[in-house]
Amino acid sequence: MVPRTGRRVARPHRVRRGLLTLLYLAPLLFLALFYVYPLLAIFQASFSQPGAFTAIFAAILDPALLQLVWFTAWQAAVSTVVTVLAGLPLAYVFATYDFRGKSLLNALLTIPFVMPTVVVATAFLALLGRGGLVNETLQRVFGVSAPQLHAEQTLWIILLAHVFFNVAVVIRTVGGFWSNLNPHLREAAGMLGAPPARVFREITLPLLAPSLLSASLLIFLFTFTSFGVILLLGGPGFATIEVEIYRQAVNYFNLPIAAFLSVLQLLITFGVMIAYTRAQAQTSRTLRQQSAKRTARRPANWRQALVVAVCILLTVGALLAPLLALAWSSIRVDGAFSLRYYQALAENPRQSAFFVPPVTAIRNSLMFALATLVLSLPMGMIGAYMLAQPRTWLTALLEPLLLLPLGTSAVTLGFGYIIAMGELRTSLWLVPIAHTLIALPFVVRTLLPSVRALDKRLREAAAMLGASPARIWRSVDAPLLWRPLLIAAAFAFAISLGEFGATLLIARPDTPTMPMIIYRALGQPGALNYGQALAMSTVLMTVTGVALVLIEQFRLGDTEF
Amino acid sequence: MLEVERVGKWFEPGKLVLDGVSLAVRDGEIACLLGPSGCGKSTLLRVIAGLETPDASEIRFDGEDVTALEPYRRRFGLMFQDYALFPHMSVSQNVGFGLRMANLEQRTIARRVQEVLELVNLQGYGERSVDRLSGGEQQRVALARTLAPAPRLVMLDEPLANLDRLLREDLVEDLRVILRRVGATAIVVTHDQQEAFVLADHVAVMRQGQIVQEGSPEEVYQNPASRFVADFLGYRNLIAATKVEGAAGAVFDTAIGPISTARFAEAPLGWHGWIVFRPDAATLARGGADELKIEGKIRTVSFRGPITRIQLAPAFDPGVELVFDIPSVTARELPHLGDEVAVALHADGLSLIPAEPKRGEPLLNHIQQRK
Repeated sequence: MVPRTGRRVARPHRVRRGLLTLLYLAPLLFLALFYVYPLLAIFQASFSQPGAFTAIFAAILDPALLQLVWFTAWQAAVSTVVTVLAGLPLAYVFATYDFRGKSLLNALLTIPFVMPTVVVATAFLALLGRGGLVNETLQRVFGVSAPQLHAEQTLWIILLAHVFFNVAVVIRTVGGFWSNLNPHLREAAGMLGAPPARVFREITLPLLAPSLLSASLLIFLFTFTSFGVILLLGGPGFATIEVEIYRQAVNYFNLPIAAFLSVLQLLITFGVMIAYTRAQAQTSRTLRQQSAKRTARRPANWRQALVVAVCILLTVGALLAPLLALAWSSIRVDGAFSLRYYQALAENPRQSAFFVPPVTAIRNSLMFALATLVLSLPMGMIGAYMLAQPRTWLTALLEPLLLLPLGTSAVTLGFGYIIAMGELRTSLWLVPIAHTLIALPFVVRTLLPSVRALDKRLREAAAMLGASPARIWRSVDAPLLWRPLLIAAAFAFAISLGEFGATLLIARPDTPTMPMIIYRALGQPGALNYGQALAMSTVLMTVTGVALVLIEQFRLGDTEF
Repeated sequence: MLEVERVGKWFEPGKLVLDGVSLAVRDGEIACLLGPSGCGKSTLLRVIAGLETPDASEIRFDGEDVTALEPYRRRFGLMFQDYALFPHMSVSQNVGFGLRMANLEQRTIARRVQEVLELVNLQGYGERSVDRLSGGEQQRVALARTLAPAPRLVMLDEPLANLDRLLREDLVEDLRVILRRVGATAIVVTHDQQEAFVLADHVAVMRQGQIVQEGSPEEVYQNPASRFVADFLGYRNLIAATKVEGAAGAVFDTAIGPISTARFAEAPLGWHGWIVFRPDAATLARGGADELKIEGKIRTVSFRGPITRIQLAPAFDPGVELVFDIPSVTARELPHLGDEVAVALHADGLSLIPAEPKRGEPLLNHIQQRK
């Protein structure tokens, strides 16, 4: 987060100030109604049902709970460490070298981060699964009929998927920070007799520490609440707290335990969130002390060029392989090219698990995503304007609140809606509302730097020239904000399209979204169902990819993550 | 003793940053690389330090070839212009870093750190954090850190450039005293001639990747070897001249009339190039027949305290402009605009700069060219 500047906004007239407060209350109200209230409802549900306490005490005493928490934390920690280690080489290459196609590569790297979980899960199945590309190739090359690679439903494939998702966080945060480190510090240490390994240990690493910490905490947060990856790739043998909440709530309808687990997870993630916010503040403070001069250079000799090339090829290969495997597999039917799986998306055979032709899910998803845009952009814009103001009790309250949904699990949110929303439970609006909450931190953080950077003097000049406040916004602010707005819109759109955890709980069976269709198709036996999952995932991947291209096209600076 | 031979370095093909530079620094000597920014002096320093790989060269220290040696094995010290203090370490930890890398005992390190901090007059600063020091204090910590491991060669890259002017004038003296006290063999890079003159035993003026003149500060100042050096040292009065008579005293034919002097007997008849008048070698003439005199009209006068600067249009050719700094004490009353005066020149204030015909420059009056 960027620390607030001491900029004072001209004090509006009293009436207008009242109106402004009302406007500012809109996101607060929204958060209270659709975030705080459902969470409180979970609390209540957890402890008010008859026999709830006995059930919860039994659960606490059950070693299975400890095991569940342990596994959740353990897999998140291992995923985090592996992700950081996997990301560091490329972070180094990005910080140290300039090369052709660097910005394109930078754009490519964000793709996994925003790809929907279900798409990634399906893509990993298409690459490493029992009938995946790797096994198919191995079988052909060695002339055997049994699959040789048993990655499906193992911890390995879960870890790989987590690394795949989050490696961009390391490359972007740590790499960006690294490139701003003064190279003279390393050279000075060398001149004082420190060999390269020691320079890294004593100078580079301690200086990178804040950025490493905040990247790690963010990744830990994401993997701790991992849902789709565990559910789809891990199978019944693995469960994080998030998965267990879903199973308790949907499969066993054991609400007190589900609620208790939600509360437990909330407490843990809030703790991590607080640590992350602190680390983030530390990082930006340190960064401000450093020179902004970028020192990346072209590789000086063939050895450096080789290092750069190998790092890039390995990372890009590893990131693109599953996605390409997915697209490839979706057009291969029985060893030949065919669009059969895509045609099947329009069919709705009896006894299918879909209730509707899968292709309508594309329409549903697009509608939900548009509704999410309509809700999240104005809300996010108001939020950003609020946070850009000098600190008051209102902004002090709103800032963590606006960031919190980032740390709240989607399943918990969906679960809370089921418990709390009563009649509204079956409303179609519930899905975009949930998506808006999940997208809001991203929207606000994308808009915030630009809103903060708006030159107050421009507005004053416009006011001196007789422009009304609305006119000022239209003629001064809006032209400067349309670019970040577009980025925020693309973010919200992509997040809504891919959202899985909350949607799974609250969407009506007859209006499924694309991720739900993929999930259902994967859960069904048979090549055609699997093929439909592949085809639908490829469609979703393409749509998300287009949104990403838009984001990168309009990105000026980095958003605040 | 450091010997650098024919260093070549280019960052892009065809763009030489160092063009066959050779340099020798004797033990205990302080050498200064002096030149405008972009002349390659900092790059030369980085090549000697081992931070840049030269494309051609040999670098020897006490006869040992160190060209391929890693920087951390050279036992050279380099102080950066931005000091590059480690922000996550205290003053003591910064100063002791090189000693720790040499795997010295804790006690020895502590004692040496103490010693060096005293040397730079920072006793008691050990526990402070480096980002809460003033610019001058940071500079001294950086110097202490560089000197602590007693490097065989001390290199300072623009050591005073980041300080404000008043501080700089004080610290340049301190710097020389400190370097002398530790008996360092040192190379200092600077773009400031004043600094170079105060610090150096040996000055090397650089231009476009080449050393264009070397010598003691006095030699370089009194006899600039080329127009570039004269320009860089701030000489203003360069007059194209040809030697026309050379028996007992030399006579030069110049744009401001014939000049005869007892010096420069060694220049052959027909020599041509530039005569330089040092601005500070002039007084307002009061009679005296055998003095070298230039008569003319005063164009501008500016009183600058100890000196009064006048611009003179010589009577022989008023199109030329000469600048003289007259000691204010010698002018009984200050000259006025438009006064007709005669300026007397001290013969030692003259020097000759040979023409550089290979550069194909026309023998025009330099001052006219500059206008």
